[in-house]
Amino acid sequence: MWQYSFLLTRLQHIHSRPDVHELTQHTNTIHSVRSLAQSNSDHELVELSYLLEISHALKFNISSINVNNLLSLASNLSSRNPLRQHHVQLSLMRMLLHVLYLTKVGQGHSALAKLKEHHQLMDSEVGGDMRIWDKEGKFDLLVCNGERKLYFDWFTQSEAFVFGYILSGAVYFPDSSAEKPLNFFMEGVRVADCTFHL
Amino acid sequence: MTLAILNGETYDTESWLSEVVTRRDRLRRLKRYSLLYASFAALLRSRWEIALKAITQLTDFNQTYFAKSTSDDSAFTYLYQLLLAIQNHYTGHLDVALQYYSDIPVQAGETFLLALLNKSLILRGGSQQDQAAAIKLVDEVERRLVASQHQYPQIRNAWCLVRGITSNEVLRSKFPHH
Repeated sequence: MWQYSFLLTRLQHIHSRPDVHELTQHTNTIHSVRSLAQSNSDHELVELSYLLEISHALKFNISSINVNNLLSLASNLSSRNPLRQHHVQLSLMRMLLHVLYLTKVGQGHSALAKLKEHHQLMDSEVGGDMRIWDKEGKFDLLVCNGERKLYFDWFTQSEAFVFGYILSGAVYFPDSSAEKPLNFFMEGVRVADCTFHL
Repeated sequence: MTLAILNGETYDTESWLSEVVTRRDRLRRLKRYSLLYASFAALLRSRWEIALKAITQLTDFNQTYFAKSTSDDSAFTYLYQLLLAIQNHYTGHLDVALQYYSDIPVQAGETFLLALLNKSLILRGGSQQDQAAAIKLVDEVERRLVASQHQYPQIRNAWCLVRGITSNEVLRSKFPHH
């Protein structure tokens, strides 16, 4: 457990404008998490490591990382993992990263298709049952053969919706005839205002 | 904080206040980006009233809840400067637009290149000196695109368009003249 904690804590600390060495170090740390998780058969953490590497590649435009391959690996692992229950946060993360990636590489139609899947997930899972989403945005992953848990902080339910609206607006943005982008962005503002009375 | 308690939060950990503040700040950042992109979406669709309303709301919100320091979120800062530049560009306040474009630093990447291209579009309508400066800006963008390890396909397309508009070269037609 302490090895996981140490490596994951290292991943939290990256310079806002890292040089090539720091970027490589960060990728290596993600790979260390993955190797450790694979040797312990902690499949949920392996899945998260794929998502972390995708996020790292997209954030810093690292063309040497094969994002498509990592998305496939994450998707396959989520369906093959015998211990993985339907983990809505991991599924949502993968979907958001996939839409971001497709938008970034200019595959607008594919991004739209993936976005529709995202909307279905938000409507059916995230918005449907408020009990499955911790109100502080915490979720856990099973490690050590399902006997222990690692806890993480991520989006609250409201943040997930606001981010989803921003992403939806961004995907529809190039269509200059459509009102959808404006509607999505303003809906995001409305949800943010309702949540914390900003 | 009172609202958080009323929403059912339990005040039972030392880090509770810190977590509530962090979540509130995160949501404010998301709202800021929503307003920013809504402003761009409205401008680019020539929905002036909506754009001006969104930009005003964004400016007020930004000034009220965020420090003036640009190190807070540089991506937002560069895009916000671009937004104000484009707003002034569209409404004919070209000197103000030029100033906002010039304030976007080279670290802004694509946003910087777009600012250079937009500046060149303003300057091409000016004096001979301005037109020469416009050509130099387009050359600068070309130089950076060639040297960059990133593809920037949309900026390349924009560069081609602006190069075509600002170029003084005459391309002779191959259509036979009789």
